[in-house]
Amino acid sequence: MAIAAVLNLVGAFLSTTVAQTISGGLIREGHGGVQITPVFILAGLIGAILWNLVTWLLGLPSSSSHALFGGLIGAAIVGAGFGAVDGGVLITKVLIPAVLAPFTAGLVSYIATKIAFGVTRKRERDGFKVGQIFTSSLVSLAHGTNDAQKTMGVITLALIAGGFQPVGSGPELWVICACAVAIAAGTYSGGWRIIKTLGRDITDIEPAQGFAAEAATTATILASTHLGFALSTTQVASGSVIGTGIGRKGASVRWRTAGRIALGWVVTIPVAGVIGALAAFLAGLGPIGVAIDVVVGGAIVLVIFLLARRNRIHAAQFSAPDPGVFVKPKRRKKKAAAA
Amino acid sequence: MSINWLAFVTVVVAALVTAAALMTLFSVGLRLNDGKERWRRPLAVLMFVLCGVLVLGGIWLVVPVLHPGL
Repeated sequence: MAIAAVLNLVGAFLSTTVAQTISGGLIREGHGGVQITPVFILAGLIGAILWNLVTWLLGLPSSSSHALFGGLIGAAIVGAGFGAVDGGVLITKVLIPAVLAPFTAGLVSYIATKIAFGVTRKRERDGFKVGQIFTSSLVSLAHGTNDAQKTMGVITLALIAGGFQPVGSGPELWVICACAVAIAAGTYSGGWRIIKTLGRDITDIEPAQGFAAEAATTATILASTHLGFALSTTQVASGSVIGTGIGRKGASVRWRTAGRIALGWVVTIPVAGVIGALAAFLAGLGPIGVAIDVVVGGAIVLVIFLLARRNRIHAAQFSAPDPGVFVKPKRRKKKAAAA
Repeated sequence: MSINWLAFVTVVVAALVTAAALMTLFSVGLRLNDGKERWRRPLAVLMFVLCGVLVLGGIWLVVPVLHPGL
């Protein structure tokens, strides 16, 4: 777990292209575009946070990245009109990658799985367990380059909007450090629960498939980050899992479940947007509005946590959905004989 | 608004080539390792080393600070 945390930390420092997409590209700020104030960014964040928690409570795996985008866009539109959002950037660097990335990961994972099963013989495949130590570390690294970046992007956006930084500048070093540390700390503290949950359902996925899926996830995320595409690591990882499931002989995909989850993802940007817009509208009414935003937002968060404790839902939904959700693997011969 | 399709193609191709190369090297390495003949071990190790080279090379390409000249 410490390794994953450290690698996330390192990854965050490696590249700031995605942060600049968020801070400089998506929401126009400064003289060229329309004025975005930190208050509206707050509204956007409230939108993102509330939607994230709602999906967590409902047990829906959701993309926190897309909730972030949705919230910001909703707030920006209410706060400063449609001109505040750079539609070009939205489409090319957010929406198209959002759709393309999971499919890419799926395709890459499928082919990688075919290679794995084609080249190696059954008794050799245990070696993939060792390989997975490296590939899962790489996923942590890639995750750091993309996810920490979005946080940096938002903070930088707020700093630019507040006048602390010139328009068009990149993230300051202290912002980079702070976000990197936060992601690493989060990985370290919350990671074990996620590993336990995934581990339970991964028993039906062979190490070779895990290796293939993780390699595909890393490759897709790093290639996208290089071009400044902000994408959802959750979705990419899920795409890889489906790809590797299809790649293995005899496995079938639970399409209905996959469809339900896909629907949740499609809904995320608009719904987070609406909540963000609502928060922005309240905030626009003046300081009382901002206070209402924070108080009501905080109350909703509290209610959600209380409800969650009653249902004993755990934080597994923050990670990629369990592979078992999507794919019914080939039945093991032993199990069939025992049945 | 013009869409830079080349960028998307780049992502798909780069991800595919990298992951396929890594998987091929690793699988060949595992396959070579299977058996007692003396010549197998060094070749397998070579495969795994190439895996490492590939990964490091990929990271080098992605991290801007590592290649200011490019």
